[in-house]
Amino acid sequence: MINVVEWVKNRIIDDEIERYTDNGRDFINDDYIESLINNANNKKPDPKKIRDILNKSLAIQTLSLEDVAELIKVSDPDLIEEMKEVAHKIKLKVYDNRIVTFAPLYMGNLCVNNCLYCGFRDDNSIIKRRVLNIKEIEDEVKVLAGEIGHKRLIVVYGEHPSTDVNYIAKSLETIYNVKVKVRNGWGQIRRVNVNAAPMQIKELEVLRDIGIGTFQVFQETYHKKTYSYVHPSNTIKGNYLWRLYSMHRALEAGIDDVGIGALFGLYDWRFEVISLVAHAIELEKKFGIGPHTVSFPRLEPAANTPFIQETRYRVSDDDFKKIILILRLAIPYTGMILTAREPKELRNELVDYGITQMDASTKIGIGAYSDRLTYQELEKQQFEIGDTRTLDELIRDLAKKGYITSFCTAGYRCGRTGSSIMDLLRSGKEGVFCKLNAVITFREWLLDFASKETEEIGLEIINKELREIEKRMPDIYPKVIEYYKRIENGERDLYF
Amino acid sequence: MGRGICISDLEQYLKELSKTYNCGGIWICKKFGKRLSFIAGVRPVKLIPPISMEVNKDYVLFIEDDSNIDENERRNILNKIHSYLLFS
Repeated sequence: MINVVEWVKNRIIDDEIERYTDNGRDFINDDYIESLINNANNKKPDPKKIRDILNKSLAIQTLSLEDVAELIKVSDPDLIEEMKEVAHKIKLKVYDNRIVTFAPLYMGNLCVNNCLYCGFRDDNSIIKRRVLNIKEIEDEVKVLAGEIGHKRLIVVYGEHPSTDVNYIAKSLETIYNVKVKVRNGWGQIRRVNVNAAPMQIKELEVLRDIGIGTFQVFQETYHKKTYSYVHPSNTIKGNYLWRLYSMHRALEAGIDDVGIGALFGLYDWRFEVISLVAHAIELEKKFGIGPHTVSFPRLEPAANTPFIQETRYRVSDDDFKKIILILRLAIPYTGMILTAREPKELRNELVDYGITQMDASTKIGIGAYSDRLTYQELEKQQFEIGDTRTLDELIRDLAKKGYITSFCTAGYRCGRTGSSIMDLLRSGKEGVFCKLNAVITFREWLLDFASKETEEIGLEIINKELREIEKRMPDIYPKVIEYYKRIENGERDLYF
Repeated sequence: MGRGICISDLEQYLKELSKTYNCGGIWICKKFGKRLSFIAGVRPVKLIPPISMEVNKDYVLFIEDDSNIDENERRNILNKIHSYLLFS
């Protein structure tokens, strides 16, 4: 029998915070960030200065906090339009014309914390609590990999001894081992990213050894006063610095792809945007490796969680668009994840702002994929999702907009990780791999999972991409065609 | 400190190999389950699927183009890399 109180007591290791601070100070300087925001309120932006900043972004340089504050000032529609154009160009330069898709998989909803905004908080008595066992995990993955066709998951765990590092490790092994016969080949999850509570270095080493994809921890809010208000001090999550240095510990443990994020709606969005960039700069400075991905979820309704209706920092759609634009420009090499929290129409529009990853066929109830529910059960979910499109539908909609869907999971299986992928992203070389692997993996998916309608439009996109590859990369083209034919002849999981 | 010196020596050795054999990218990764994390070397240049070779149970060598390396040289290269890694 696990003693929850004892487990909680031993979670935080002070040395694994203090070793990263600079003379006891952390990298989020609240006063300075507030002063940048106040300054942004007072002055109109100089268009020339904005264009200089946009040129830095186009050169795939991380922007300074001061640059970001300048971009926040922009409200002129013409300048916003210029920012959009540059954001789109950056996306094409770094990641080409592809969107990677994934699915979230919630493994349990037990949690020792009591975050005011979260449906899974410990004292929310209306939530039906459950942690998936091994058989149930297999059942979920059989649907995800065998019926929907996902190759990439983000697995989500509450902070609780029942979903501790040993459970996480076991669940990852289980996911990687599921292999399902499908229409023409087999379905399998090839990359598992993890969204979990902050961990100790020795625990992170356990995850590293299993072979995880990206390790994600979102700070929720970087604003210390707000953080203290929404995360009660008698909980583990109440320790701001333990969470702030999660990525430092992951990188020290050898997990060299990390994801950061903020939950927009807890505090002023401008503070969170500047802080996310500060976080990226800090990781670049200390480890030479910036965030592999940045996430920017907005608060969504959750069962029995009145805080969400009461917050004064709710982010409008217009501000949300600006958040995405500014992050794309400020951390130009990073992957940007737009989840199904957002409604379909907005996701269709925002994909043009430099988004690189989207989820589809999303279900966030515990066991919801194999339960085959066609509706949302809020008392089993952390929040309510806004876009319920299937993967097939999302792919079709993306294709109508000219985007190719990618199921690429190559990078972390051939050393395009950490500082290596940072260089490749900045130089535009990774964009070539993105394009080639999108074609190969998309063809595989179309053969194994697509509806007739999606296959037709998908093949049009592939043919357009192949013509472009032939023109732009004549030396590589024959190899692409060789791989393409091998996929059509039944081979699977080929990549550049 | 010792690790830094050996990794930079290894890096230098891989750069020389890339030039000598015109193999483009040539890099070493450490194996963590499915994950192969970059350790050192010349990053992809030719952008073609790399050939992978096991150095030992923990490390893998990736070469973009090994057409100029014969079997004997390949064995020597792997042995030398193995010895660098032993001291890292």
